[in-house]
Amino acid sequence: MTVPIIYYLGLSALLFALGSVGLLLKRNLLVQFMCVELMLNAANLAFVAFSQGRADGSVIVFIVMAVAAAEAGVGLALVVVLFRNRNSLDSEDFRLMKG
Amino acid sequence: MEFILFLIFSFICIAAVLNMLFQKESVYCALSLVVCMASLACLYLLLQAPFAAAIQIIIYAGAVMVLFLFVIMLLDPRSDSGSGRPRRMLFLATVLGISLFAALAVFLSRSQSFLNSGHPKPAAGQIGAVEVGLALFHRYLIPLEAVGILILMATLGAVLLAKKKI
Amino acid sequence: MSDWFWIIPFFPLAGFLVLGLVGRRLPVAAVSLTACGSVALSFVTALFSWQALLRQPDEARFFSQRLFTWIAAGNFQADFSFGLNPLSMVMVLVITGVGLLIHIYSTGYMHGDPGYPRFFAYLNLFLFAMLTLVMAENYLLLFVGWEGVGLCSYLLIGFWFEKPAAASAGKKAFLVNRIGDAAFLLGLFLLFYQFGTLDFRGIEHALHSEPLHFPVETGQIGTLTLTALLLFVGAVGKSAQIPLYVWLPDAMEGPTPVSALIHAATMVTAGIYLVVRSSALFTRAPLAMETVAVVGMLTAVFAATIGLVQRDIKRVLAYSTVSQLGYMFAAVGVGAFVGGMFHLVTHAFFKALLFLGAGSVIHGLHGEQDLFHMGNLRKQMPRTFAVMLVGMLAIAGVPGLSGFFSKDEILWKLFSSGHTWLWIAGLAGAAMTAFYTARLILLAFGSRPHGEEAHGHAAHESPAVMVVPLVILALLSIAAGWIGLPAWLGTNHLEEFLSPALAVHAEGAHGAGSHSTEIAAAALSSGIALLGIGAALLFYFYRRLDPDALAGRFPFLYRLLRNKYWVDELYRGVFVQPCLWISRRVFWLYWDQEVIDGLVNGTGRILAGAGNILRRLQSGSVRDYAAWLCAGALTVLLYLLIV
Repeated sequence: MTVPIIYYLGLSALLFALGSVGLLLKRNLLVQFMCVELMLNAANLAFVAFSQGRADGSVIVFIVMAVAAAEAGVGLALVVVLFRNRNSLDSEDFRLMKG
Repeated sequence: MEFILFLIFSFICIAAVLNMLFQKESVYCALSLVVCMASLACLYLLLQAPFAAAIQIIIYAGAVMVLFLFVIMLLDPRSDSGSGRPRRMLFLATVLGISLFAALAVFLSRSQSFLNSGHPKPAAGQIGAVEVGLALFHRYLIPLEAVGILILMATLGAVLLAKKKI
Repeated sequence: MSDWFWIIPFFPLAGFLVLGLVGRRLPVAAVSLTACGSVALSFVTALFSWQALLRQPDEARFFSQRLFTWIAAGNFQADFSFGLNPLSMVMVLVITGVGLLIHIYSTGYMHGDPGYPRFFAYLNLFLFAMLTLVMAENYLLLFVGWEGVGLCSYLLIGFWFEKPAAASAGKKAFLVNRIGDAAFLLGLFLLFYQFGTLDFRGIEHALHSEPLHFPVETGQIGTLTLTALLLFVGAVGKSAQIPLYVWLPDAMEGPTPVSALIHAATMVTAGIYLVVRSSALFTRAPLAMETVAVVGMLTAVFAATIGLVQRDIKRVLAYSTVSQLGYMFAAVGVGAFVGGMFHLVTHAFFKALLFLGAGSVIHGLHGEQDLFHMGNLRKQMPRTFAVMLVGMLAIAGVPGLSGFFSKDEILWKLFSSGHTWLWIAGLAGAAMTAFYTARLILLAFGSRPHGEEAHGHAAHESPAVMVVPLVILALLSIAAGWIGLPAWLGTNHLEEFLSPALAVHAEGAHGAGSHSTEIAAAALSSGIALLGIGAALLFYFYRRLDPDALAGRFPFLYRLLRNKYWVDELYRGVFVQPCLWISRRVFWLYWDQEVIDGLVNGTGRILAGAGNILRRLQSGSVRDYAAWLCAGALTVLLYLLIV
C-alpha cells in the first residue's frame, strides 16, 4: 500500500510550523539555528514528495543543503564571535535597539 | 507495509522535534535534531529518492550537526533558562504556529491537484546518484557553480569571522 | 562699409567687457581711453555706414546682416541680425555722436569717483544695448536691447547705490518699466499671432499689402489696434508718458551724464523710435494713432506745468524731457513721423546740452542742485552760461535755432492735420517750456535779489574736457535745425532721407494749409516762445512781478503743482500700498508662512510620527523579527489561498 503524497506534505507543513514555533520560543541562538535547519528540512521534504520520479527534487535538496551548510558555517562563526564578546548565547542579550 | 514505515518514521521525526522544543540543554536539542534528520532520510528512501536520503545523512546528520555539536562543546553555554519566556511570546508562537500549519496544509493539499494523482507512480523508479548527477551537470550546471561560489564565500567568511586576529 | 556696419554695437560691448572685467586694475587714463575710444570707433563706423547708405539709391537704402540664427522653434524663427535703414541710421548717429560727447564729458565729471571704471562699463553696455535696440531686424532682438537699456538705466540710476534715494529711484524705474514691458511683450505675442513672424520686413510687407492680407490664418484686422496700443503702452513706459512717467524725475538721482545720455537723449526716445519703426502698423490702426497723439500732448502740457515750479535744477529738466517726449508722441500720433524724429534729434542735442550744463553747474557748486541756492554764476562760469543760454533758446523755440524748426514742424503738423485742440495745447506747452527754461537760466546764472545770499561765490568753471563737448553740443543745437527746414524756407533733408523707411509718405501729410498759413503759424509759435521768455524775465530778472505773490493768489494751484499733482502719492496709495499689503498679508504671512511652511513642516511631522510608530518594529530582538517573518509568510500564504 502506497502512501498518498498528501501525508508527506502534511508532515512537511507540521515540521515547518514546529520549526517556526521553536524559532519564536527558544532564546538560545544555537537552538534557534537548529529550528531554522528544521524548517529547511521541512521544505526539502515537500520538494522530494512533489518530485515523484524526477531528479529535480533531489537536485533542489542538494542545493538547499549546500546553502544550509554555508548558512550554518557563517552563522556558527557569528555565534562564536558573539559568545566571545558577550559570553552569552541568549538572543535577548543582544537587544541593543531602543524600539 | 510502506504506510506503516511512513507512520513509524514520521512519528519518530515529530517526537524528536517535540523533544527538541522542550529540551533545555542545547546538546540534547542537537541530538534530537539528528534523530529527526535521520528519520527524514528514511522518508526520502520511502519516496524513492535514495540520493537525497544519502546526502541527508552525510551532510545534515553528519557534517552540519557535528559542526553544531562542536560549537556547543566549544562554547559550553549556559543552559537555556525557561524563566525569561514571557507568556506573550508563548501565546504568539502558538497562534502563529497553528495558523501557519493550517495555511500550509491547505495550500499544499490544494497544490496536490497539480499532480496527476495523489499517489506516487510506481513506474517512476528510484532517483539515484546517476539521475541527480546528470541533472546537476546538465540542466542545473549554473546553479551548481553558483552554489559552489557561495560555499567558498561562506567558508572564507566563517574563517574571517572566527579568527581572533587577522 | 556696407558689409561691416554690423560691428557698430560691438565696439561698446568690447569696451564693456574690458572695463567690466579688468577695469579696476587699469589706470584711470586707460579706462577713459577704452570707454571713449570704443564709442569713437562706433561713431566713425556709423559715419562711414551713413555715407555708404547715402550712395545707395533711395529704394535700396537698406543694409542687413544676419549674424546667426538665434531661435528656431517650429515655424518661429528669430535671427540675431542687425540692419540699417535711414531711420535706424539717424538713431545710430545720434546715439553714438551724443554718446561720444557725453563719454568725453563724463571723464571730467566723474573724475575721482571710486566707481569710475564701473560707471564707464555701464555706459558702454548701455550703448551696446541701445544700438542693438535700434539696429535690430526683428521685434524680439529689439526687445533684448529694450530690456538691456532698461537694465543699464537701473544700474546707472542706482550708481550711487549707497544713497537710499538713488537705490529706490533705480528700483522705481525698473518696476514702472516692467509694466510697460509686460504690455510690450503681449504686443509681441499678438504680432506673432497675426503675422507668424516678428521680422520688421515681414510684418511691414504684410501690412503694406492692399487689401490687407495676413500671412497666417490667425491674422485678424480687428486686433491690429490692440497690438498697436500694447506696443504703445510699452513705449509709454520707456518714454515716460502719462501714466507711467513717474520714474523719470526720480531717475535724476543718477549721475548727471547718465541723465543726459539715457534719460534725455537716447533711451527715453526708444519709445518714439518703436512707434516710428512700427509706423506701418500704427497707420493701420487710426484709433491707436489718436491715442498716441492725445496721450503725448496731455503729457507735454501736464509735465510742463509741473516743471514750472520745481526747485531742483535736474528735476526741471526731467519734467521738460517728459514734456518734450510728449510733443514727439503727439507728432507721431498725427502721422508726422518725420516731425517726431526731427524733434527727437534736436532734442537729443539741446537736452543733452542742458543736462550737461546743469551737471557742470552742479559740479562747480560741489553737488548743489537747488535753483534757489544758486545765482550769480554768470561771472564764475561764463562758458557754461553761454552754452546753457544757447540750449535754453533752442528748447524754447527761438527762431533760427534747432528747437524752433522741430517744434514748429510738430505744431504745424498738429494744426494742418486738423487737431486744433492739440495744437492749442501744444502752443500753451511751448509757452510754459520757454518760461521754465528761462526761469532755470535766470535763477542759476542771474543775480539774486538783495538780501538773499547766493551760493555762487564758491563756484568754479568746469575743466576743458567738460566744456568742449558742451560747446560742440551748443553748435549742434544751433545748427541741427537746418536738416529739416520747413517747405517755405528750403528743403527738408531729414524727410527726404527718412521717407523710404516710413509708412506714410510725406506728401500725404502736407494736406491742408498753404505756405502763408504755415508762416503765420510759425510766427505765432515763436511769438508764444518769446512771450514765455518775457514772462520769465519779468518774474526773475526785472522782478516786476513777484512769483511768491502769484503763488499766494492761487494757493491751491501752487500746491498742486509743487506736489506734482500728488501723482506719486496717488500711486503709492492705490498701487504700492495694496501691493505691499497683499504681498505681506497674503503671500508672506498666509501663503508662505502658513501654506508652504505648513506643507514642508507637515511633511516632516508626518514622517517623524510614522517613524515613531514604525521604529517599534525594529526591536532588536531576534525573536520579534522571526515573528514578523512568520506573520509575513502567513500573509503571503493567505493571499495565495484567497486569490
